[in-house]
Amino acid sequence: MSIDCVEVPSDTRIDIAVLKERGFIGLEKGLRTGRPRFPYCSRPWCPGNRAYLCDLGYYTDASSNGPSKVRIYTSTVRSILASRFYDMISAGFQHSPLVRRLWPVMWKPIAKLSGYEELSASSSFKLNNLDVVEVDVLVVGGGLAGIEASLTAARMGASVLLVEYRRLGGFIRLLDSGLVDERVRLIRESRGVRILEGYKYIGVFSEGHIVTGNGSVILVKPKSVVYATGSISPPPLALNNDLPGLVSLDYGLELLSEGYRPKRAVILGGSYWSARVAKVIADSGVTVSFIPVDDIGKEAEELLSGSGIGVEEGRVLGFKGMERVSGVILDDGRVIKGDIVLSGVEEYPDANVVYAIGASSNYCNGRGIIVPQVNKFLGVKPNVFIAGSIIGDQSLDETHTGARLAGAAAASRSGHGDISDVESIAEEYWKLKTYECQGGEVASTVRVWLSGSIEGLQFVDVEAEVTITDLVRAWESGYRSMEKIKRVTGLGTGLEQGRFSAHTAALLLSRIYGASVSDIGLFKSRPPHMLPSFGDLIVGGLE
Amino acid sequence: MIPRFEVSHDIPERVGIIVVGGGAAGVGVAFGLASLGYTDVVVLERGYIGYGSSTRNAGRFRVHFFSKENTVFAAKSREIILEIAKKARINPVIVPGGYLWLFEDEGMFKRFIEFNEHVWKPLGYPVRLLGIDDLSERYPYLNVEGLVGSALGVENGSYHHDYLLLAQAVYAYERGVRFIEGAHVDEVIVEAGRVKGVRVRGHGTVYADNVVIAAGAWSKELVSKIGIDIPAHPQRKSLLVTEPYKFMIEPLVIFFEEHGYIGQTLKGEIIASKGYPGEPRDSDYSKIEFKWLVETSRLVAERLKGGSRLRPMRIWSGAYYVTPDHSHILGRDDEWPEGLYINTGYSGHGMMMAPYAGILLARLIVDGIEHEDLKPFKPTRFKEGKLIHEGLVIG
Repeated sequence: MSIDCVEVPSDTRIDIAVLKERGFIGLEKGLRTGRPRFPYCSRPWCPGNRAYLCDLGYYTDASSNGPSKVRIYTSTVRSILASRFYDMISAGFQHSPLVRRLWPVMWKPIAKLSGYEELSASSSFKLNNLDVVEVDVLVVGGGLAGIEASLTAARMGASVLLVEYRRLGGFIRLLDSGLVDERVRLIRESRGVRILEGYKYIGVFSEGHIVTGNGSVILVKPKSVVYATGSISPPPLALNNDLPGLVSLDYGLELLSEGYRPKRAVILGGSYWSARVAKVIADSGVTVSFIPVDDIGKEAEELLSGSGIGVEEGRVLGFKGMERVSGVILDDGRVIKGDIVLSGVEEYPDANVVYAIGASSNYCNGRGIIVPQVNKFLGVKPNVFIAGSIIGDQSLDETHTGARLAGAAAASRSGHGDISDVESIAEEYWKLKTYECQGGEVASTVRVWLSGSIEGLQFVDVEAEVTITDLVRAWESGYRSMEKIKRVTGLGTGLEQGRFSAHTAALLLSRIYGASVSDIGLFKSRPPHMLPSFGDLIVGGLE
Repeated sequence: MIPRFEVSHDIPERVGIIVVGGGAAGVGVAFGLASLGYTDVVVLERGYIGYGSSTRNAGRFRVHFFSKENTVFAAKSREIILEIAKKARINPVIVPGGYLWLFEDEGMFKRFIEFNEHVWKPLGYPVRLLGIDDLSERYPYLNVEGLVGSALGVENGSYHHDYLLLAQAVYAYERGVRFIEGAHVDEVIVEAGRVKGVRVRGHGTVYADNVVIAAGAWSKELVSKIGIDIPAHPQRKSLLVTEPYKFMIEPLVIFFEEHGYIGQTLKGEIIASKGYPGEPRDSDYSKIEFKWLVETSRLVAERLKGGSRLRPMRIWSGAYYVTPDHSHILGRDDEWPEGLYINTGYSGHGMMMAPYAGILLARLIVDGIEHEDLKPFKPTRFKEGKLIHEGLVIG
């Protein structure tokens, strides 16, 4: 991969700023396509949204707590060309004995000639504070489900710590502030809940749960835990799906809320939420096309009728564009134009965090996705519960009731409240549940597989540059489990660590070869679940 | 195209040699046997091929050990590794990046130089001593503050551990060795002083005249059931990789007194780990000590310029299977049941030593030849008091 160095603002805004100032110019280029990389979603682990090393020995990263603008290098034509020169010479370093011998004296002048300049980097760091927090219930994720679970547990008398890495309210905050504002106000006023906003949940260690943020490391020792880490919409599979400008539904919405205004936007996916986003974007004056991909939901249809949003029927073969996306190619030959394509075709649970502690995964034939296996109280382990779209819940009713169930069960596990209350919420929840996860082991449909073909550059993992064809080749050569597929293709070895790619690959291989999804499996996920910097983790006084 | 490699779930009834364990040690034996043309072999693995510490290591090889025996052994193994790269159909991605040892303590540095004079130089593997100015010139990303000396071992380097293992496995597979996954061996069956086979959980007996125990941290338990004690215990070790950065850290950089190391993969991920007193004595891969992460983070922040701003992407645990002298156990004790062999206890050097161990063990089983390089590592050394004290353990 090659890297062009630019001015990098801190934190996840990196992509937004780049988008605004330069159009969709990513910072890295893929080896297979030579195209710049651009984050598909706004999570810290999304491809493209990462740190960059731009000179000989010094780094910076895109999401530390450092100054808001870290100057590295301006990406001028001269420095790009010249740095290629440097790269060529330094690549020769390993092979030519002459260059190898001269290198110690050559590298500095060559680097300078090539437009590189040294950064003032130091090895200094500061010691973070270490706080140890003992609490009844730890809730990870401050979306609707996390808020509801926290409120329920607190109401039952449990002390609650709620950790959210951005702002309370989740995805829905961007859609309907009215609904969320009320819940957010309520939880801020709740006395039993301590809120850590802007903190990263790193994972479970022998000592306890680790959370970082604001110059401190918090070691949480809870009696029970609720994970409400939400869901992610995976990149759709069609030709050229690595083109910058193809983004997830929530990320697209976020870009808009930051002030980005495309001329035309295309929305993929016929769900209620896709329609809601389409409407919000259209209301802001952008021309919107809506491609349902498969069936359009009744609620979505109602929302869109009379909104002036064009609904386009047809199968998606691929995306059009050179350096960035300019439209969606349909099977009847039409191209639906758009400067940005938002995909909400499917929602995968963002469940790596529970798989890392040993929860098992389960193919849910009712939804066509892989979900963590839960008991009737939404428990994945005796003291660990999950809620919201991490179990595949989609409607507000399900989410709300499921979160109450998880919150109540966690409170009860920590010694608060009455188990019969938990039982009755459980009964209510399972009655509401609109789909079942029993039966079929083979994936009959893979909704994100838009093209239906195995040929060409259709990336299952954009970051590790693994295509459907690579998966098929590996499978046919005998590598028939996710652990082996990972090793021979590199699938899931990038920042997303299989969150999209392993999930999609398991479904695809099951669909193509008729193997059971559980036999193929996902591979083991590991911390950190949010990316801290080393500097964020250094504390003194840990026993 | 990827070379074909199919594992089976069908367990044969009878076979010439059973290898218990499909990690570096077991696959090394399969490779060694296949190299000799002996392929009536089945590798029984309870997880998947490469499970365990074989897929949880730093992917490095070196020739420099404090003991002469280990240095010789490792140097021969290095040759086999380079040969695998030539003859197998999977590229193990070998990079001769070297090992760079850094010292903060004069005494330690002097001791290291003595080993160079007495062990490595006579064997033809001298390390290159670098002054601090040289060091910061050649490795501008290092913070050299407080260092008193450094030594570069150029024979050492890295491979992709998964590919190295797969290369050997595919080589053996293509010649007829069978690999079975999901076969949990519960015990070795011994009758009338000789090995009869093994019992596989939920399946039954597999008969064989020879059984090789290469089950890593699970070896002790297996042989204890037939009254054999091997002195080894697991020591959990964690490791991390960062998100990828531009490749620049060519050698494995070792901080001698800190028991820590920093390196980089060709893909650009920086790997780092630091040892600390009181490391857990288990092989529970699901556990990571936060204390370890703090220590490792501090090492990176202190020793790489701008290191505090790098971000770890994945953290995991493996285990060293540690013997009293930090050297592996290879071969057999004549008092053991006939047909029983052991290949374990690598104390952190398994990936790099196992290819040669596999060749030596194959010769012992097939031809009955006990090679000179194998003899010092036999399990009998513990009762005979002939330990190979290996002091150069990294991490």
